[in-house]
Amino acid sequence: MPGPIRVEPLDHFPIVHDLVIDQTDFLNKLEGVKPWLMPKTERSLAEGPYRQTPAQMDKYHAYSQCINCLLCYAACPQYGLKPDFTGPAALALMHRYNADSRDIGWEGRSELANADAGVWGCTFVGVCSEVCPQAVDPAHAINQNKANSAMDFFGVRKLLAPREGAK
Amino acid sequence: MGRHQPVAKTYRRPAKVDWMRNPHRIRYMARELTSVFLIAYALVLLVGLWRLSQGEAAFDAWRAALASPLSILCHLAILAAAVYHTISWFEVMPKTMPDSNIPPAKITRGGWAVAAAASLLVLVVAVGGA
Repeated sequence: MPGPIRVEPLDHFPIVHDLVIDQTDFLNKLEGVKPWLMPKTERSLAEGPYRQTPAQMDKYHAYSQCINCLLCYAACPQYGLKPDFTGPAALALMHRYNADSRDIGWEGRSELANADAGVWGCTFVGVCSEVCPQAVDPAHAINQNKANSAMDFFGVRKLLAPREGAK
Repeated sequence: MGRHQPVAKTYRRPAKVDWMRNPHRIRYMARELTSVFLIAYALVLLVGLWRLSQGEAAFDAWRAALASPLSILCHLAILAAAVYHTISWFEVMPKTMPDSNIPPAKITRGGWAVAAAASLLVLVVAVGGA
């Protein structure tokens, strides 16, 4: 016999009524990570679209599959404890743009990632990736950026930057 | 922050994070808890260093204290916690690494192999030195 199923509004969000929650906080955070392409070099319309190889697309494709279902926010105990935390989906989307070869990358969004409410708000419970129906793997997106943030703090990223740009 | 305005009237459930809600959270808390045992062991070793600085008699007294049944029991608990911490930490390690073509299972097994080899080396040196 299958166990009982509990139907309830998403955890950690203010409830409007019944199962309806107020997702304002999430929407503001989602916009806060600047989820748009900040091109390395501006191209005019005449120059045509930005081009990318399949290998370059692979680097971010999985992180672009988020459907904003908010299951990761409901699952994340850190978001429950610290509502300031930018949270799994928004930080995964930030990584999606940073990892895009057409984007200027880390430097454009580093301030948000380095903040207390950024990647360091995550304590790596990892349950966001378990509940994600799209296999976005926010825990992976966030935790590999802790390394980026640490390198940024120690100034290592600046040393590596010219080489990255030459690629 | 942001241009979206919150809904004026909402209900907030009493904020309480239930760490025992699902097996994943329990495993996470178990992994975090084992680090307390690791700190305890680091403190034991630091006390040993401090006793060494006080001379031979003090160091021998520290070593004698380590041989007491209570101390051995504590060390067994710390060993168990350290083994659990090692296993569970390398299980999540692939998610801390940059994206690559290396399968996550390989990273985990590699970490376990290095930890086992290092432990074996320490054991050989300790038994050889005794």
